[in-house]
Amino acid sequence: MKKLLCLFFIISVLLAGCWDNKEVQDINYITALGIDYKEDQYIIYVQMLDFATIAKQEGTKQTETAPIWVGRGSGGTLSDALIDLYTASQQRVSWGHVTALVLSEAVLAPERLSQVFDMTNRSQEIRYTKWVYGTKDSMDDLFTVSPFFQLSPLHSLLHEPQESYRQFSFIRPIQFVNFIRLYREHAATVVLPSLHISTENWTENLKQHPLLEVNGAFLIQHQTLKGWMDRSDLTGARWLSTPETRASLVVLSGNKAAGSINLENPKSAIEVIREGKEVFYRIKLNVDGMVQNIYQKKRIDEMRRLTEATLREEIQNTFLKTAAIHADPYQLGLQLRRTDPSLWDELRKEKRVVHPASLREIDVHVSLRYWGQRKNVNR
Amino acid sequence: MELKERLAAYFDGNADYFNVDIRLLQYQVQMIGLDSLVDLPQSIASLQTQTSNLDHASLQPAALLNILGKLVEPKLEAIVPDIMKGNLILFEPKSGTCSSVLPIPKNVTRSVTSPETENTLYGASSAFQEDVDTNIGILRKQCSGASMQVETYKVGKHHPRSLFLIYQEDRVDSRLLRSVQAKIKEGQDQEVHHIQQLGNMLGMNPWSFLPSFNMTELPQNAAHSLQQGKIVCMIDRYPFAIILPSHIMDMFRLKDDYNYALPFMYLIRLLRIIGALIATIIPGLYVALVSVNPEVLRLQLALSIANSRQDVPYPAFVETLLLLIVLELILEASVRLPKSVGPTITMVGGIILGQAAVSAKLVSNLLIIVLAGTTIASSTVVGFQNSVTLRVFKYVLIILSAIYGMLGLLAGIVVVCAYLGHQTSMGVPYLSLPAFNKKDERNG
Repeated sequence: MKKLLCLFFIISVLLAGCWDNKEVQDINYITALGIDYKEDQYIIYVQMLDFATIAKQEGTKQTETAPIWVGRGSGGTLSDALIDLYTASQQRVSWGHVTALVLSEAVLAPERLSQVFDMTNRSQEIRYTKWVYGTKDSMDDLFTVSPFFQLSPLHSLLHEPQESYRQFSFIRPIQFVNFIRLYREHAATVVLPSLHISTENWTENLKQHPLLEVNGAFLIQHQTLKGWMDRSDLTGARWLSTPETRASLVVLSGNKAAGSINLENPKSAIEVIREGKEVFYRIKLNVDGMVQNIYQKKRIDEMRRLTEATLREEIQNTFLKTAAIHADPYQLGLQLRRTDPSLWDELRKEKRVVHPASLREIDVHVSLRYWGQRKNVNR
Repeated sequence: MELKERLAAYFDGNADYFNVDIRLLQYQVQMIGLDSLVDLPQSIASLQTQTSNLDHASLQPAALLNILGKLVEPKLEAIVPDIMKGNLILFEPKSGTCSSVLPIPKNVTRSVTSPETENTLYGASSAFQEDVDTNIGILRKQCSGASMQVETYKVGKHHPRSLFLIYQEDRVDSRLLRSVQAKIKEGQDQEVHHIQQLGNMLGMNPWSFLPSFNMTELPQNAAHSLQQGKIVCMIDRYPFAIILPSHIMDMFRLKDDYNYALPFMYLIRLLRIIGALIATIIPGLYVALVSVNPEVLRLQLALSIANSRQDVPYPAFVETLLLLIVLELILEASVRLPKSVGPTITMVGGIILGQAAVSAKLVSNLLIIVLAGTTIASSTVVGFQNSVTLRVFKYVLIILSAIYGMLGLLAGIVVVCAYLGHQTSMGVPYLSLPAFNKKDERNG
């Protein structure tokens, strides 16, 4: 009896399990997923990479561009598009490594977006930490762009946006978890960076080389798309988003450039000021600065004052531009809702949570830590 | 029949048996013994010097023989064990008295040398050897306190051996001591020639994967475990001290460690623990990640592994087993081989075979790295018998990982932990941390 039990146990262990599972090299890994909506049809784009693109052989430098495969499937629903995509799939497909999700402008409508989220989140395969982007360009092109030196596309902005953000920040890349957190929050505004192919900046052997850039962002508040805004109009938002932000600022004195200051480690706080039925906000911002260039001879105090003024100008500018379309990238409304939900509820009905006059004060403090290796302009 | 003939008949097939007549004082005495164990000319000379000083006239044969040795009954059954032990028998035929004398022995043991199986970096480098009396002498020198006790037992019926039970009276756990003593007394008729038989006598599970004893060649380690309240067993003709009971921490602790500065001692021990973990877990992890759960890997790593495995025809499980068995063969071969041939095997096995296997695309590059690391790591633990244990657990984890992936690996680790927790050594749980004796110096 004991032997029989033993045998039963061994057989049940050996017969169950994943013996027939595919090995790591027999799987096609999808690295990016793009979703478009055109003429009542969902179109799914997937990006797959050759193994050889990442495993660099010692000694031999790759001279040819790394091959990138882009799959495309379309259908009336997302499932139809997926089925269409699977029809010509040659091997097992793994969705476990999707690191980027790109949504076209047409998909950003709430009813379509909820379908997209259902598809990516219902199965446990696709992770929550992928980067999310919007775009106005064609997905085929977006997925085929390779970074410098025939490197793997995994080193491009699509898959690895954080490194370039830490060096010079424009619009903060957003992970899916954070996206969904802000997207579902009634008082918050999602700044969804939008990808664009730029051919202007870099050439390869005198030929223009297409590269990815974030040229602006879609502003989505409480699941409704408020509009798209250019990168230069949104630069104020970076100072309030994360202490990781680091960027340099051209400081103006009058209308002439007085110098450029590299600012990093911004720490911000939002204060809500209530005056009867009216609500105003005060932004407090502390930034560390380092002098990069000096074009006009200024004293330290003067330079700091000019920097603060320029920074204040930048934040004010972005606020005015976004408040005009009732978007709120500084999350001022969120702060109000957290401190006084009933007041926020009242104001929301009147659409007066954020309006162009509601930013009362921007209290910027720059501490100029380092003057650089030179003391003066003319030496 | 006379005793002389009966002895001659008994030792008929033994060429080294001798029976010579010598004169001691006024008596004719027969000397009986084994040539291979007794240095005859030297012994005769020593006996004669001893007797020449004695007062002849009044001395009776029995009194004379009693001075020279221990009187025994002149019977075959009483004499033979003494002869086999290497003693010299003096027999005076007229009065029929017989005595067993300690002779000058032939030297059949090596001298005390440096250890062969355990290396010490900082520490005494004399090792135990086959002669148990010498061993106890060495151990006494290490344990200079008064409380060390040595108990002797004769075990075995046909080939009796002496078994020594050594402990420190004020340190040892009395319950443990009593149970060991009872077990030995109970099984005194069993032969003890090797460790398995000793385990049987002490009632240990012969199928246990864990070492039921710790063996050491180093006197300082044996002395240290005595101080910790453990019991040391020694068998004649066996050049190792057998330490009871064994613990999990014996894998990681060494007396030698105390000769380093404190932070380095802890770092070295941490290294051993990491080594043990790597040796058991990493091969299973490789199998699980490559063949069942590639989604756990970072994409860059997954693609890189995939690239290195692109032409490998076998599943990761078969690939790993294949190379592991080759590694075990190399290890086993290099233990057996003489020291002059060993390095050749290592080179052929390690470098040439590994390189060829990779270039023939039988195994992937990464696997070579994984297994080489594993083999090195499994040797970092203290004691060869412990590293054998690690080698076994590794296979359990590999098989479970091949079936269930990461889930199987975790389940396997749980199973191994449960198994360790279930085991006891002489009634002391294997996983218990050694706080044997409160009076003890820190066990570390």
